[in-house]
Amino acid sequence: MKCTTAAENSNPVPVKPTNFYAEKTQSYVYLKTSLTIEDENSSELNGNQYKFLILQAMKETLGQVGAATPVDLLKVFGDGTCIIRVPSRSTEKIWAALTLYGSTPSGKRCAFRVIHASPFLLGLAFNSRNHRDATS
Amino acid sequence: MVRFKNRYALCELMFPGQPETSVESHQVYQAVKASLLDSHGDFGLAALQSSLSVKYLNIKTNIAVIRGERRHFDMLTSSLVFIRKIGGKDVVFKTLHVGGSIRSCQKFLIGHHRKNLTQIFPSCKTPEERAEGMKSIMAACDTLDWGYSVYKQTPSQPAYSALSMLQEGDGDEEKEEES
Repeated sequence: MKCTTAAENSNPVPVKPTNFYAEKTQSYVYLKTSLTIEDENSSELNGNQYKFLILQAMKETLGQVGAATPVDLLKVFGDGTCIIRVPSRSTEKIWAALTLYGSTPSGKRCAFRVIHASPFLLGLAFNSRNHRDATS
Repeated sequence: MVRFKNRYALCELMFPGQPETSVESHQVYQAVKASLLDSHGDFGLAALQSSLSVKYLNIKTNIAVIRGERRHFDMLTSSLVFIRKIGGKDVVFKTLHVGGSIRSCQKFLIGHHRKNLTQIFPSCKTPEERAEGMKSIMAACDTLDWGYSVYKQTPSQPAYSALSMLQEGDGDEEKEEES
């Protein structure tokens, strides 16, 4: 990570860093996803069930080879959302697999929604879309 | 407009423990499709299904040529490994060659058979078997006209003289009927 300062040379006084950028591609991408299941309260889902459904989704679209990519479930929140960590090379594939997943093995309709994707875990800490709600 | 490119996998179907088995080409197609769906999912099947076909299947030697799109061909070759059964029979796929055209696969196949012929020929037990095998090989040479110079110079000679000539030459220069 490098920080850039506005007008580095002209102004000798150190200026507060304004933005950050990563010098190289990060090896993982963090996805914040929500899962809704028909006629079920998704807040009751535990980590095992969540991981099982993610693996089912990957197996359906990407097959056994695609389902072998390491996906880590980092945190399950109470409201049915979770944070998963996937290798950045296969982010798009896994994202697509999650989006295309339509029904659980028990036949209930369900939907994964990827709310937020970031190469840094800290990027998921705050969502500017909720900014107005949080402040007001 | 870019040309749609394909790859062709030349595979040998091996039936462990039951050497005289043969299958039909649609059974091979269905097995490849099922394996593709299993190992690469809906995505893998959708990427290759339009171009997937079994172009050639020899029921005697159990050698098949399977076509697939070039861009996703690695998915096809990797799923061929996982095929265990075709029509209820145990099978192992052995990919001999991957070529850009059927013609290049055929060229490879001729060389492959020629190489293996020298290993198969000593396994003929009786002299009748040997003679029979050599005769069929010579007949294949006759129809193929493969540029076998010594044989070409004496086309009027009967087959047995060519046979004896080949046997002297340690059976190295035989041709194969499969082309």
